[in-house]
Amino acid sequence: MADAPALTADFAAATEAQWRALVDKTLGETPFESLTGATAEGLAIAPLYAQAPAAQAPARAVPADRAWDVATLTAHPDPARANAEILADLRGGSAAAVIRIDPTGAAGVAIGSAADLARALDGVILEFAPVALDAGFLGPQAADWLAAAAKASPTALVRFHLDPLSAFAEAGASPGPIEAHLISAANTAVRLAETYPQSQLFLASGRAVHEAGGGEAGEIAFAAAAAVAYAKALVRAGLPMADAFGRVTLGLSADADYFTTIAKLRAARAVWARIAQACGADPTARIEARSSRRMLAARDAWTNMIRLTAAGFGAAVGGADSVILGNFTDALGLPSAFARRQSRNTQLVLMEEAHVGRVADPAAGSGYVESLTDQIARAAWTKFQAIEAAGGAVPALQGGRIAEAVDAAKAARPAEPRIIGVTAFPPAQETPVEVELAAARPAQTQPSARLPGPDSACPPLKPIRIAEPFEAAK
Amino acid sequence: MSQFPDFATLPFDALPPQPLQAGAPWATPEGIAVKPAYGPADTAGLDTLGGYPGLAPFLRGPYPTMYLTNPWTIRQYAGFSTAEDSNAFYRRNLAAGQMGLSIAFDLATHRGYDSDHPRVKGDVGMAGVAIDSILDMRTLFDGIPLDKMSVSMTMNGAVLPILALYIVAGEEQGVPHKALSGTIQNDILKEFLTRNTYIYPPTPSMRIVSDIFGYTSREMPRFNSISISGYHMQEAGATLDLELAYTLADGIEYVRAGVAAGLPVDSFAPRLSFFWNAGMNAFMEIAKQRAARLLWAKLMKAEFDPKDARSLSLRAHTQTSGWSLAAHDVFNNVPRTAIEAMAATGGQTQSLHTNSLDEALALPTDFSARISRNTQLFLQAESGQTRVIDPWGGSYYVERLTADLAARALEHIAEVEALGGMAKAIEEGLPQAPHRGSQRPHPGADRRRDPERRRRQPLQARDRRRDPGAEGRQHRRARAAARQAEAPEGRARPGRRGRRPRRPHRRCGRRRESA
Repeated sequence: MADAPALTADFAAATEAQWRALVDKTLGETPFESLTGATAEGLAIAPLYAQAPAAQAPARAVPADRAWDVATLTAHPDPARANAEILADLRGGSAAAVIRIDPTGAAGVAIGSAADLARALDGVILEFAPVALDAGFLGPQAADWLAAAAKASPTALVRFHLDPLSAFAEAGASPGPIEAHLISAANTAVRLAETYPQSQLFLASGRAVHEAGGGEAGEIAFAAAAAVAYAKALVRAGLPMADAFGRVTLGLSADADYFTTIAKLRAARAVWARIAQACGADPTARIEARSSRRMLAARDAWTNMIRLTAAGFGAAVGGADSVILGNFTDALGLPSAFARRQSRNTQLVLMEEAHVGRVADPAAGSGYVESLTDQIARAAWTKFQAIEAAGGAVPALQGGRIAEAVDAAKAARPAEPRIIGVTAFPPAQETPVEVELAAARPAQTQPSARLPGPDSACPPLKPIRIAEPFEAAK
Repeated sequence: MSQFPDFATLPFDALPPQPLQAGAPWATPEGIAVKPAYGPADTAGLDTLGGYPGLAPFLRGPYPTMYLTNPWTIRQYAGFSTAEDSNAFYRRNLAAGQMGLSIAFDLATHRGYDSDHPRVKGDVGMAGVAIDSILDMRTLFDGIPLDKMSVSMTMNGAVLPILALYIVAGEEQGVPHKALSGTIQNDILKEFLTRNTYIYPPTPSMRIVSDIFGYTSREMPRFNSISISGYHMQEAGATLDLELAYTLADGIEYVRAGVAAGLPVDSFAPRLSFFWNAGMNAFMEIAKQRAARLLWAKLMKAEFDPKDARSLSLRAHTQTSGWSLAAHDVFNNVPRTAIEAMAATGGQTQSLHTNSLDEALALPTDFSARISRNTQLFLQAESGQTRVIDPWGGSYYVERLTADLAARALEHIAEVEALGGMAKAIEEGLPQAPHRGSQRPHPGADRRRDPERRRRQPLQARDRRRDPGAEGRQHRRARAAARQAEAPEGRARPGRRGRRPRRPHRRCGRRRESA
């Protein structure tokens, strides 16, 4: 740039050899290699990087008005309480809602019918506030309930987020053949796609891999394989190819290690772009980032506020289109109104006060982030290719390949991690946190997700919490 | 399905570079136009790219291995009304992972008065600890080994008696002067600019500063003789380019004072340290830390051409901003402070104070102090922040901001120089910092307000900035010290501070800022 003044002209250019000599002096007997690190999947991290000549991932275009969708998740078993939570979040500055549905009320809102979902969405204007579902194997039925609530409005911003593969991976089983669930989901999706041209149909999520302890490349590889499986199912059900990719959202986790989160999201965009481009579709990915649950501690839960801030920063800087931050009390129970407000305010502070979304891809050019992005993308591609070679996401899950990769990443992490408030500097006395107590009251109608045919099974990707084993011991 | 390729055999190729997003720039309060996206062209031709940490001009960091071998020092600033309470608080925090001390003194001590002086009635124990004599200083450091613990003291006006008492406290522990490590703020120029706890006019005040440079360079080689502070400027509303420029201009003025007093530049310049604010504009703050190191090296080299590279190297303490905190709905201050801490350490500060969530209301409780300290412990242990040196280095956005901010600051420094340097400029009444103005505080604060407005259980926020019983207790201690001082012989004199000259009428700033 012509307008750059000379700022370093008085100094001779420093050389790497000079730096290495200083490092050696600092390290003494310790070898230089002690300064290099690695991710849980063995991707190398150097102590220092020069600028990258070009960005290794396509940047997300940042909307000028709102840099990303501030989304909040509701899982209160009572649909009326869930409704109150959603409305409070929307009034409090969030832009989108995610409803986790479980008709038994054990792990989500006790919704078993269109009427139940309508109750939970009472007062929510779907043309303004996107609503996403998280309904596991009940996805197709929940999608119909949401469609009913949207009353065929062509501008409704509904996100059906069908994701039978994540449900299968987490549970290790499906009620009826998993292939049948894919077909059922795709048929429902294609039926709704035309009525709701702005809807998102599938969520291709790698979160099950992350929550079970997996690494970044493994998470992207699984998400990519799921995306391809969903796109194929959509095309088979009658959607044109280009449309199919445009209706699938990528789901990824955001955790406390925020540079890694940034690189992971960027790598996911690069991988998506390659897949979509090879299929002649728009290479732009849509990413929904959700804060990691495995990083949360039940002891000294206040520290989770800080973890969630780092996760939100990573998600936003990494270029997520939609960010869902959990609550600092999630390891202990349902969130109070205070915990929910804290969660969405953390995003609002990031967006409106810290100006984190002003620039698209702020990390572009950082040698560190670019190197990690490129390494994660290539490792993810290799893993994705292995999944495809095995026949795709379903056979790869059933054959145990995905679970093995998760176990390998888990084993590569330190056996005694430093977790503030748990393994390091635990509080002399816990300051208790409030959580909501709600008895699970099942919905009146208990729909069945079962499809005809034999159940499928795979080694489950069981969610972990890294702090949990150390919390019990104290 | 013929349209789907066989991915198992499809090679990975990254897409060719995409055109950058265009759009209207965001005009920051610094007058920098931030574009919607940055690419290689935005940094092409900058001579600030690259470089190595530990080597001049130090843009990427003052030390060759940075946090990989020594993470930043977690230095929480605190002072309760009395020496006993402060001592107990320090000891609890050191046990819980804090690594250095930072002492807040009360307003009476800042202004140079003993606690029983009528002019400071009501100020005793306000916003920090009251120190009248060696009795208090001894208590303050009771059980804290001064040869091991680095101690930062926020003291500017009454810098001579406080530094003397600290040295004597060390002597009483058997610690030689040369083993004392830490920092004294000793930054009198910014007292005239923003904070107003000066005692003497500028010229004799500068004489004290250079005397301290001379003494510490001979006697206390591990002690930072000054902490040249931009913190208070940003707190007073200055934009980051001004914080940067005026602070560096102050620094150059101090070096001139030291050299004018006959000190060789390399005898004291390596012990100068700086003190930054970390506000909410995360990437601008990262750029500021980087630009500051570069500019200091450039300015020092140009004017003094020191032979010791450490004289060119800017080392900084940073405190998260007070202005960004809100007094209601205080838990929003946790993410604010966390983001500021990520920026300060992303910019490679040497030590950091993270504010407590109730900072705007009160002295921290053990609970709030814990969250603020854990913010830093978390960043060191869990976030990956210590893994790579200057992790934002190379970012097209951050590198461009670094260069733009440096260029802006140089313009302001040139203005100060045109007036004859900072001391002159202050006498002429120059720097009344342009304000961040309407862009400043919390957009959408209403939405973030707690509709219930109830105090959250762990926050015992009344006006706890002062212990109401402290003043009376401190009076009794001051009288006891006076009696001892007048005792005929025998015991060591407690070293009571002498009578200070009457300070003029100015009110003291009440915000707490550290060294």
